[in-house]
Amino acid sequence: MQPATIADQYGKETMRKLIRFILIFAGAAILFGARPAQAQVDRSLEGDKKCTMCHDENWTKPILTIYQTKHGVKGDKRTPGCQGCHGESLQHQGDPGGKSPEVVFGKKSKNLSTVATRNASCLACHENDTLARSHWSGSKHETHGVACNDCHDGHAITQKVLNPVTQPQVCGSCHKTQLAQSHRFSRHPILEGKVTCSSCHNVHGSDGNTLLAKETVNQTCTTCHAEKRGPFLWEHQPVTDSCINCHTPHGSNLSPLLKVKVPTLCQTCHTSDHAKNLYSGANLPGGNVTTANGQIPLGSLNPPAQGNARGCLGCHSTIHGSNHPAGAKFQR
Amino acid sequence: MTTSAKKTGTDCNRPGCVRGDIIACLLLLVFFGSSTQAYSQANPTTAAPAATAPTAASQTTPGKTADFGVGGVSGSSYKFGEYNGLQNSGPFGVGNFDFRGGAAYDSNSAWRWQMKGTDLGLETRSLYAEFGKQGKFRVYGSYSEMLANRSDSFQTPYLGAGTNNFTLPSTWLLPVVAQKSATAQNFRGLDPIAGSGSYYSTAGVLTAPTAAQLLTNATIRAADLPLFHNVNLSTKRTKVEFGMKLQLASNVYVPVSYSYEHKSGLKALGAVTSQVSENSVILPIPIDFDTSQANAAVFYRFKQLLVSAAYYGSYFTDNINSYTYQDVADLTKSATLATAPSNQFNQFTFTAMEKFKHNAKLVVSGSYGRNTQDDPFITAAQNGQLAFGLPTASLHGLVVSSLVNAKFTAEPAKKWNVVAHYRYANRDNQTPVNTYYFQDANESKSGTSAFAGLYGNPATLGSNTNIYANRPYSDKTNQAEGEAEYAIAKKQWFAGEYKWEKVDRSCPGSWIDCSDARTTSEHTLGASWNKTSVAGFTGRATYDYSWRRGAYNENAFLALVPMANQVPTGGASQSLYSFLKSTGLNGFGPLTNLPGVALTGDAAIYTPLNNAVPQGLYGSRNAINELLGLRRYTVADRNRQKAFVDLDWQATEKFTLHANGEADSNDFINSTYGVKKDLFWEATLDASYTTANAFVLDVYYTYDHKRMRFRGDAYGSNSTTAFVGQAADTLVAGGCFPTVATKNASAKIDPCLSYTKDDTNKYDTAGFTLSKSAGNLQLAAQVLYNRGRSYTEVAGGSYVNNPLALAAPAPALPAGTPAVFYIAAQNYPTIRDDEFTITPTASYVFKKKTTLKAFYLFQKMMSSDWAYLGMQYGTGTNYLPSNEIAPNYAISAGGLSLLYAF
Repeated sequence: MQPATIADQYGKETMRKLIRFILIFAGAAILFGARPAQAQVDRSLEGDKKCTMCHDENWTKPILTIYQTKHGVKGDKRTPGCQGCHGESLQHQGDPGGKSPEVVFGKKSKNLSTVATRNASCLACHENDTLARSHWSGSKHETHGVACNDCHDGHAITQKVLNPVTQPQVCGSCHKTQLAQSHRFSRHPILEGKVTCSSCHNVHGSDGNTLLAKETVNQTCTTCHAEKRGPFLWEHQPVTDSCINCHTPHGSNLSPLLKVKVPTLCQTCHTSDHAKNLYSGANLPGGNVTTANGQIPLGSLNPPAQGNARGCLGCHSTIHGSNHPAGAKFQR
Repeated sequence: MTTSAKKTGTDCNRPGCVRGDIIACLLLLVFFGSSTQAYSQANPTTAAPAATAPTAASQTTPGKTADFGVGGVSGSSYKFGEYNGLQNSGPFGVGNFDFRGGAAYDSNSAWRWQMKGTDLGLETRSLYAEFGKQGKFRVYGSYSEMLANRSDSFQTPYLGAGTNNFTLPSTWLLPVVAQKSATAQNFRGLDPIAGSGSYYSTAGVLTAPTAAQLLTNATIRAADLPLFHNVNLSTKRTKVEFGMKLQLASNVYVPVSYSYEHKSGLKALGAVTSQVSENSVILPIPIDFDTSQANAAVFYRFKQLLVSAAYYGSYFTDNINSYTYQDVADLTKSATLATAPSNQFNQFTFTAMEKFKHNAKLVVSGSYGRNTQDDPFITAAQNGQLAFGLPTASLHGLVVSSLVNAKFTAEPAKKWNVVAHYRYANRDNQTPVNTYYFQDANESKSGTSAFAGLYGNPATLGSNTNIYANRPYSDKTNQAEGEAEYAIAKKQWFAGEYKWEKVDRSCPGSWIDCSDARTTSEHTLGASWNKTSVAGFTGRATYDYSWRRGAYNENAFLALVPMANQVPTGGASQSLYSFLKSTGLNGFGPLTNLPGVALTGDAAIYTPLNNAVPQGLYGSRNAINELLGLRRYTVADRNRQKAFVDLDWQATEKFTLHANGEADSNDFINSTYGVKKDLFWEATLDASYTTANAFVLDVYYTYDHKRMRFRGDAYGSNSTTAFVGQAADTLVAGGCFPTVATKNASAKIDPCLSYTKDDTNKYDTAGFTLSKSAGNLQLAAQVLYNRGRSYTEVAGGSYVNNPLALAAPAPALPAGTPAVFYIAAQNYPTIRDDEFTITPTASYVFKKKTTLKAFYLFQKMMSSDWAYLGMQYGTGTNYLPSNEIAPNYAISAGGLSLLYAF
């Protein structure tokens, strides 16, 4: 089959699917009808005064700091104001000690609003402006009941989740295993803030599986490791398939971020030629010494190169793919 | 608070008024940029200025902080400073700043700007600046450095580190163990103990080395060992990024950005010197990469419809196209490694989102991308490796990726949420397929290929010439899933999910199906329960069961060797592929021992003695068929169970308890060989206590357990050989057969050659953090202990010949003495890493705007890994030692700085 023919075939297939979805899109619009516009609230400074007359600079947590954030720039008419997020809260204004605001974000408050209510407050803008969180609905975080303010603190001058050094603490408050993995012997520079959780994941939903920032694992990894993108003359199928076939990106005891130590890792898939051999710990430095009838033949003191030191990678070092015409065995 | 009271910020509503601040910032940058080092903000508590008495102005006015001081490191270790820049002992500078300014929040202006710098003195420094008019535009730029220290103990005798040409000093002597062979390379000779052992003479006598042999060994060591010199291995990325975000209208938003990154340094890479002898060296290869990335998008909203179109481009350039290195065993030869080829990726993405009644939302997105690579091939044919020329000067590589993604979410009724999702992803590799002829590394052509001069092949092909075709892998994924969630009580939901995934794999242009499983389909059924914030209790539990099935193709390897579809010389009546189709066999041949009667015809040629197909009959230097029954786990049939439980209990306002557990079990049900079972589970407990007087204590523990079990078989070849050395040496001790003859007759199916490996990784992470504020003093500490243990348990064994079972003139073994021993496999030594870290910090506000900060970091690492032990002199026979050692250290770093807020 010629490549051009294949391209035509796949191109047509993609186009067919695209047209199909455009029809579905139009059908949904007809079936459900457009959503009505949202009610408007008082976003002005005058509106804020109803709140800041009590919630002033002496409040138990810094409230007015929101005016240092993007949410507090009144020169930008889109900024929400207190009521934009917390609701008009007329009952609370009338009875501050007895009635809570319409939307309560305080996680330890007994009047904490539901996740849906809190998220609706944020999405009122962030799903309806030009920077809409298009993929939030139906994403794993959304369906698992994550609220926006589980990660974001709208009143903070510097949000922990937006600071590369502190972001892992925020994500790790739920993803504790991954946070623990970031401390392992072999790891990405996550603790130093040079690689962040959001370097690889789009927590608001994405086109990729597992909330990946890009469409696939490999597209995500090669944003930094572009030298492994290829295409290579000699491709290694599990590499083109997914980097995580061999690597565990959040941290490992085995460098470099390996799931299993070489040569065992390679032998899980390769059983031909010398890869079929049993490489055990016999006579490895620091391991058990084995003998033949009590005798140690010279030359048997050391295991084969495949089972020692760098193992298979001592020779098969271009394991991510080779562009050398003689590199089919990933040695060139 | 009144509006006027809050108008204490910078009353600036035009860009020009920020000029003075920016100039001041740049002067500071120039001054402090020349300082030595600064401490990274590993402990975030050091970055936060201590609280001062709150005022409306201080809370509402964008502020400026500068943090400068000195610190010191007690010792040097690449691992301690792997990413934080603290790899060298000695003093360093502390430098961080964060300047923000712009219009007052309550003015009509939306101008804002920020300049920020961290770790200014270290090689991990970063700078960031932005300014803009919120709601209209924002311009930003950044500069950052990222260090990756890789080794400070790497040694090599090669000259030329930092270049791509590695040569050995003229005084280099080939290391041998003279008493074993005066000419055969043997790196054990570099160690005075390992290289001075006794050996068995041809007479079967254990013989100590002679004085002359010992002198030879000593001469080699005296010549070679001083040539090993230290080369520090590290790489560094330097990145510059600029971007702009434009809100052209209330419904039109355009972000664009461009980044350029340069990566340079040295890292270790294995390089084979002799493929036949399996000899290799480790080279300190130079890294010199440039990567540019561009992003641009347009978002347009029309009522409830949002559409966007985006472009992403990534352009990678490797400024080095090859590494050449002298053969450590023969200084007259050299070899060349190819580097990663430069490549380009251009991708266009579109998204459309429409919201409807009932909170219904439909999002459709798609993309089209082209990944190209056309770097010229290496043509230097060292040692005749590419003696037959190339079919093309470069790959003309092209991978077209496309995606269509559609997600529909809705609340069709009060208590119901539904999600329907479909995803189609296609990675279509359109790279042309060609046939390449090459010799293995350092191996001269010999013999005559069974395909020489036929089917367009050169007439001079050797029997050891590889005739390979590239395999451009493509895959196409279809996914569909549906989820329905029902509120069974207030703040409590139950959800059910079904997911289907089908993956098609192929190699367009390949002469035969290249994929181990052309199609796999996986179905997943899931259920979850979710409860949020009821009486301080939040919980979630999920369970998924999946099953994946596919038709496995054990002859997929033939795609690499196009001669498998041609009839070889030597008497065969058909091609290998035709033979395998007609017999139902794969390249492994029949699963049996020596045939009862001599095979005839094609069977005698393709599966002689019922063994695997001879590699020469498909144009390969190596046997590349796999074991019958092997299923590669990435596509093998499997049943999968996943469970997750998460519980969070806010017991009181002060005390919170959080626990979770997760398990993921994969059974590869139809895999006789390969991965049989893959299991992961973890558990975490986290307790947090907070008092009203600003005391916070958080204690946590995580245990993580991963286990993979696989089965292999070190099968041999059936043969009629009945003795070792001499005719009387026939006994086998242990194993599954009593004699050499019976063992060899069933070498291919000997059950004692079957083995299993259990690879287990166990991790413990425990620690606590605490912080306490008292007046102007703020104290914080983090204590962390992390332990990783990796075990590889091996069950099985190998046959080893009795070293005294030698051919004449050595004497025959005494009667009853085994000629072959079966030696049980041993578990690998445990790999263990223990890391203990304590990070206390303190800050004290001694003036209204000035804070004194102190930090201390102590880390102790104890690391052991047999891989490092195997890199020392004398521990390997056929690879050049690099003498790298596992990192073990106890290092402190600390410092003082003044943080000034203005």
